[in-house]
Amino acid sequence: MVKSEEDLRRGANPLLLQPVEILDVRRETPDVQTYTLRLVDGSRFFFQPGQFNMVSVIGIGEAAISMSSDPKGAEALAEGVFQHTIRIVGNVTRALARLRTGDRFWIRGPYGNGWPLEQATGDLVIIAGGVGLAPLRPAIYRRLARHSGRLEILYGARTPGDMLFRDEFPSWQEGGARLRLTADKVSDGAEWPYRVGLVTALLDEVEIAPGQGQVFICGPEVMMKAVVRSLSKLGWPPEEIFVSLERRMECGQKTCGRCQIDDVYVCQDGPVFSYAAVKDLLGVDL
Amino acid sequence: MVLQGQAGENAVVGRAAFDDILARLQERGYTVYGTVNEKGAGIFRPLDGAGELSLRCTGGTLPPKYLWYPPFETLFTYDWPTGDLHSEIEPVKQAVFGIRPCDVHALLALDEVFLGGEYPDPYYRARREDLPLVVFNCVESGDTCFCSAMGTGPGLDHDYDLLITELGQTGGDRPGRFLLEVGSGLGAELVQDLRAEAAREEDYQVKRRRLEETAANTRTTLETEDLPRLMHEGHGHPYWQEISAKCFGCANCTSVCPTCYCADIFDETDFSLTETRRKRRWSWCFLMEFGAVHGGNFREQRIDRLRQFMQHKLNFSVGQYGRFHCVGCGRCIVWCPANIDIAQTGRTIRGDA
Repeated sequence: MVKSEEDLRRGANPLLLQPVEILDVRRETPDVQTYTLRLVDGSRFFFQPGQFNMVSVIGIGEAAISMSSDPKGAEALAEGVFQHTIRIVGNVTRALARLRTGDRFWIRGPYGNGWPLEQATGDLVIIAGGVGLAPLRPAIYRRLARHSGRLEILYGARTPGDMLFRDEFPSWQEGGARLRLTADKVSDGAEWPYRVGLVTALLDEVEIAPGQGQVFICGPEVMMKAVVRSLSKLGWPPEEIFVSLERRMECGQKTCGRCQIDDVYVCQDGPVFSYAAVKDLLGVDL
Repeated sequence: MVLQGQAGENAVVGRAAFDDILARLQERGYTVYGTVNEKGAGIFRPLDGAGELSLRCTGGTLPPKYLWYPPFETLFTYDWPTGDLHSEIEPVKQAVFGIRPCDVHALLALDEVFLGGEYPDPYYRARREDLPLVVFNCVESGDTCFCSAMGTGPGLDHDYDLLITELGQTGGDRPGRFLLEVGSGLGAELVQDLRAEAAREEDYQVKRRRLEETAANTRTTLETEDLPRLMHEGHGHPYWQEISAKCFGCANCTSVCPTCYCADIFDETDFSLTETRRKRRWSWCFLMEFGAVHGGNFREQRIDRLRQFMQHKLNFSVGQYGRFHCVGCGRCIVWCPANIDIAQTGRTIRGDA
């Protein structure tokens, strides 16, 4: 991974934490919030799209959570701010949900390798499931800023109300992204001019063909499995399909052993892997 | 002769020299741990005198791993009134007298895990940087030892400060004779001016012969040629079902493994609510929650967890670090209440059993 200035500054003890201040909390869905943050010491937090932090609430514990903002957006450059988009699923995220603007929590990071945006020189298909759109959002922003190559985004969620970043969709489309949405379930009478069903159902609408670029996927493993299988049938080579894997992590630095799959560590060798790199690993069902 | 105090110097000493070496380590401020036979079990504990040292081959019921990687440790404390984090990492002065070659290899494996990566672990480093090793080569093989199969024993030829090989008794009235080899500047200091016999060619021959005999007499075997590939291909072998049906999931094996490094990191707050300690403790891939994330568990069945342990030792570790994280110490075999045997498993999966 890229060693950031923050890494070097933390230097001797990578398990120590840095405090962050909450500048804004925004509710995305009933159980997901986006936190706009800044390091308390005022320095800029550097990261690559797809990387994550170990996020701490002291007294409760730590959780691995990816950054969801544009690392080179205007606010990041001017004010050093960054965002985490966090779903309430456990003790740490529940404790985070109680925090308000002006409160602090702690981070260490960034960790992991991130999306291979520099390799992805052709067209790009981004496929997200639920809260899996959060680690892909920095890549979407970076890709929109490049103004070259086609960008197609397929996004599925349980219900329309579970979709993240809906108010940003028009600006993504204005920036040239082709966006396709689907929800597993839509309540009767709800206004939903998009598809209903699993995200795999959107694959037949993709215009970018195998050989023209890459696919980035993030979502529940069962969703990624279905997508990867379908893409393979469509002729996408495993080297051009990238997935972000989720595993239990305690340390983020290859010593706690929790995120091992076969001979890879998700925390440092990943979380982003080409399908070619993981499809034959013992312990991955993709 | 009198030892000059130079690395690479060799001599033959009697057991009395152990007292001098121990005393010199203690004078230099080290807490010296050694294998002591207590109630029939060999345990590593601080030595009072070198006479307590057990020369039996097996390297102790438990490995000395806890000296450089303790089961619990505080990473930092958070002070609630001031909002400050404190982390104090003090260098630790420990030495091991009588560590065996397999455990030295296990230590070298942990060095790669904790110090070889992008984020060297300062807690481990504080215990590792100044850790003199007085190594006993093994001249007997325990029932479950298979170091010679794993290439980690019974002799060692690197990474020791002092290396001691028992040559045996040469006559009824002669006390035990030991070949002493000096591997470092510190090792040289520890034996400087010690009275000794010059090592003769026949002493080296005895050492070689005793190590060869130890390897030849090993009762537990495992062919490691091409083992990672065969283990990969054997992931669906029916033997996994057979042993996982017996496995209690008790994690004894991982608890006594000298290379296991998995951990949890957690917070502990005192009852006065003034201080939170962030701690690290050993964890084990046999625990149900080990592979659990929100919404699922990547190793839900016991067979998955048992296989993770053995595949990691005999297969995955080679891809990760280029060496087996099984050093053939045999402790997991000894401690298994279900008689599950990692060497037997390796033999069966590769078709040698």
